[in-house]
Amino acid sequence: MFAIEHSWVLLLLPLMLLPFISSVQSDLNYSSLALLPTDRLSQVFEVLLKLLAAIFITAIILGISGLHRPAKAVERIGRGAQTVILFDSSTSMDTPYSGNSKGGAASRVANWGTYESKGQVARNLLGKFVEQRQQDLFAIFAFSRNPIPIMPLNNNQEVIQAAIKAGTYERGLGTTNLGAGLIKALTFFEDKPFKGSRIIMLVSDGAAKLVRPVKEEITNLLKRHRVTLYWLYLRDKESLGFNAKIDKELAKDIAPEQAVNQYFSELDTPYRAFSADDPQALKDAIAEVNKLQKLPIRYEETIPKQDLSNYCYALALALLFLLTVAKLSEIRSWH
Amino acid sequence: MNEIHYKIPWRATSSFPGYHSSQQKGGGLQFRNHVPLIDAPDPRRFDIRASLRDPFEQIRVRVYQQTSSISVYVIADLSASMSFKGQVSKMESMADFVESMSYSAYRTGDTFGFVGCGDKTSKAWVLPPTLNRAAGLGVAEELRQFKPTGKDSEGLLSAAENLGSRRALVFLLSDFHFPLSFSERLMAILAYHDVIPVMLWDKQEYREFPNYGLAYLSDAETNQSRMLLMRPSLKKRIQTEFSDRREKLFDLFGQYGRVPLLLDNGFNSDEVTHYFFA
Repeated sequence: MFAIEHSWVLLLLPLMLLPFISSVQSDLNYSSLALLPTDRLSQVFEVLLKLLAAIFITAIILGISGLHRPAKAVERIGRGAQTVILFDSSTSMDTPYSGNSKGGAASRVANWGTYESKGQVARNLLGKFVEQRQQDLFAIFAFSRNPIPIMPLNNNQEVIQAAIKAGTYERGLGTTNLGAGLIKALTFFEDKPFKGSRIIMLVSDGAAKLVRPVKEEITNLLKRHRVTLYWLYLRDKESLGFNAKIDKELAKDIAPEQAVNQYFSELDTPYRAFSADDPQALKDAIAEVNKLQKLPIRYEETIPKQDLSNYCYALALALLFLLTVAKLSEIRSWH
Repeated sequence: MNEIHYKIPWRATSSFPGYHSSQQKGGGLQFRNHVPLIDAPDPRRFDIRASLRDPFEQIRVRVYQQTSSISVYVIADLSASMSFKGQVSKMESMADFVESMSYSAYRTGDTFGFVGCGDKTSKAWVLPPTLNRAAGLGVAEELRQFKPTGKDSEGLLSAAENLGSRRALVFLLSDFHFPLSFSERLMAILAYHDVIPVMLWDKQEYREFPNYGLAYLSDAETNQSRMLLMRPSLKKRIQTEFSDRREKLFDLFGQYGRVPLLLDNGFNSDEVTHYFFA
């Protein structure tokens, strides 16, 4: 419940008995106390003042010793999923987004900042998605050539939204290494207890190629960790998308996303792709997650350490004020 | 030096000539009776008219009453409660009293003695009755430096042992802050003498309190301390408490023949003189 930072300071606690042992009051010499009438109010006041002084000393000592409520992990049960957002932050994500062609569409070479990139659109969408999923736990990974862990699993909306937004201001890095990113995101579930539905939300334009060993590892990991894969697909202005019917061999070259989609669809583990073109897509995605991920999950929320020494000092100050008033109202002499 | 004038309502027994009316016959101014010359062979006191009137034709001589000296004692309560200092320190008042009284006794021709008593364990401070003019002044000087430490006033009960066998005028200086029964015992023990209780009180001790404030009082005798939350109602209660006590002490001392002398404003020789000649 409560904890102490510097426990040796508590050795001073016996000092709280001081008011009962000796008095700092200027005693007036009186001839015979027995002659004075007993006064209940005075007796109550005398004990009260001593108690206040004792509490005052105790409060100061507790303040110095650093009284606090320690950080505490509270286990909560929520209905939601453990979602790892795997964000593609390659340069291809900086290209203008197909669905919304303002500014960038006019010029051949898009100027950064004059258009809405795929990455920015994706982040907006993700922000809304996260907002809808208050009870879910989210972790965020970004990947380009190498995966970068950004945020561990947590439930704090503010932190998640900030982490998502953090990427919008800068441009992407290097190439897309989807395989490494996925493997990194999947190994994140390694050795973690299965406490609820696991989702990897891949946000990418899919301009990547997966080689066989990588594909196999991904397949294995998805199975082992029982992870559902969602792909929030962002179509390039020039790319064909999932649905364009083209020859398979040709697709390998000009529409790599079709191949990747194909591969994911053939997996044993559940998979859904959402295309961000469609304004309906986000709602669909949320509805889908809602429908599929109703399993209750257990997670631990950490309540941070709460410093109580300030309260101790405030109490001491208030008491000091009262005691000072009492001290000032003391009768120093009969004259 | 302010002098105290005092008189006694009884006849002294001492044969030593002095100021006070006495049971002794001798060279005084107050006529006592006529006796035959045989009984008082002093022809200077021959009374011609009384001798002529005497049917037995004896020579009659006038006999006069001698005035005698008495012993004046101050018995001082030296319990710690006397260390109280209000308007005037009680020990200071006591010293003033002793100083003035010893001088007045010297001037009146009486011997002056002093007995100071603390608690049972401490030895009494005794000045045997003396005509020495400086003796009382010395005691007064020492009293001014003295810090009373007696835990109670039990020593007063044996003060009578230090008084002479003749009836004496005794000033009992104390605050009388002990139980009434103790005062009564004390008066009974001293009853042979003419005891004038001098109540050394202080207005600030029993009347003039501040209206508001926290007073931390410590008792010099018991070392206890108490806090009083001063307020007008409590002040009033203390005042009534003390005026009740005063009444009771006056009644008690009245039963032993003397109204006490209350000095609550320090020592003033005129106040003491007034006590005798009011």
